[in-house]
Amino acid sequence: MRLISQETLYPLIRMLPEMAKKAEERRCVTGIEGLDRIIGGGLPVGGTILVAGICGSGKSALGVEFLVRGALMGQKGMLISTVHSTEKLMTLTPSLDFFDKKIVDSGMLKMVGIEEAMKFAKMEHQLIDIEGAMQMLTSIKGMITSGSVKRLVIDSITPLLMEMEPSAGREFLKGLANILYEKKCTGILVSETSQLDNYETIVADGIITLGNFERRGDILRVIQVVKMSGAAHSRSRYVTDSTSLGLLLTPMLRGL
Amino acid sequence: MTEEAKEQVIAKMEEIGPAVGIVLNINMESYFDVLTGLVDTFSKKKGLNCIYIASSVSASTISSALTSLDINTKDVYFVDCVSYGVMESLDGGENTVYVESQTMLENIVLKVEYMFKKLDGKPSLVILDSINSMAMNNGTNILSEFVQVLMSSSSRI
Repeated sequence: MRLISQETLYPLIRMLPEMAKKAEERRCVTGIEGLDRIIGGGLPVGGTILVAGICGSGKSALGVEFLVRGALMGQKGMLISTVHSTEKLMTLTPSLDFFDKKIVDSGMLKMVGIEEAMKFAKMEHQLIDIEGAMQMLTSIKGMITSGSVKRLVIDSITPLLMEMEPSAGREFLKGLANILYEKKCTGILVSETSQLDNYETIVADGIITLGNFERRGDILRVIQVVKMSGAAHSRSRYVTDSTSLGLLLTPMLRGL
Repeated sequence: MTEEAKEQVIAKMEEIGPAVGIVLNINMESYFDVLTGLVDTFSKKKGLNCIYIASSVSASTISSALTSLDINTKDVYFVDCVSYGVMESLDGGENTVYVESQTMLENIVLKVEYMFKKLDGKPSLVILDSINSMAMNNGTNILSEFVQVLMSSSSRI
């Protein structure tokens, strides 16, 4: 057996806090305890994370909680709502006991409708072309920069891409991923599809799917981390519950 | 005889340490005495909240029974796995949460975790009443897995 000498070991031990700090800087801790555990400590900072799933599976609730917990930890967040008004979106997600309206009033959490980002891009009855998509990106980049935003949620990306020409949509996603990386802003793109063969999945640094699992007639809400760059993450399915204390997770039982 | 069973259960409970599981094999005659002993005498003496997983009868029935025995149910929190299935009222107040079926085992674990968190992780006694009724609706393998996960998540919090 080969023993490590003290001269080798002590410098390594001294480096541990520094290494831990660096690892922390690379991960954006969501604050959702169970989720952080299964994604390897947090989302990649500046990463584009696709949260995909069928309707009613808890995607919006996850996005809102990510922003609220971030704001409570001192990270500014922005929610871009593409379907519902921001007020309506907040009523559709479960109310969180730890939500403090002050985080909205103080600007720690900003909620904007897509119209604000689209005002230059949308032409009546026409799909958005590349030029329009780039203008929208510029607008989003401006909002991220001016607001020092570190967490972004677009809820949802699906109707937005449906309003774009296919090539414009691809360029938009690519550009958005670059902006998020450059600004060290971690982004969650909520997607309405459970199919993972579209362009969003190629751009994404992380993919989390939410859905239902039927077992003997019971419908369980489940979450699975399909991909998470730079992290040793779990690939198992977990059963979730959206509660007033946030998203709770537990391993799915196999009963083998 | 039933009072004796109650005393025996409390004495056994006193012997064991925190964060452990214990199986109580009790007969029907002693049921309410043992229940009183656990929910009232033991929990109150130890300053524990009680998280009661009701899988045989609904939480409202248990709560009424406890009230009729002059037990204050203020510190008893119910995870009701019955009411949904028998279309009973789901208005048990703040102390009760509901799981749709006894077969949704993961949801029971999550509701217990929710209760723990609601109670700020204060020491609690979790009562699963009963494992027999759970066994009628679940296979042995998944039930053992459930007990294992429930115990480890309860100890962790």
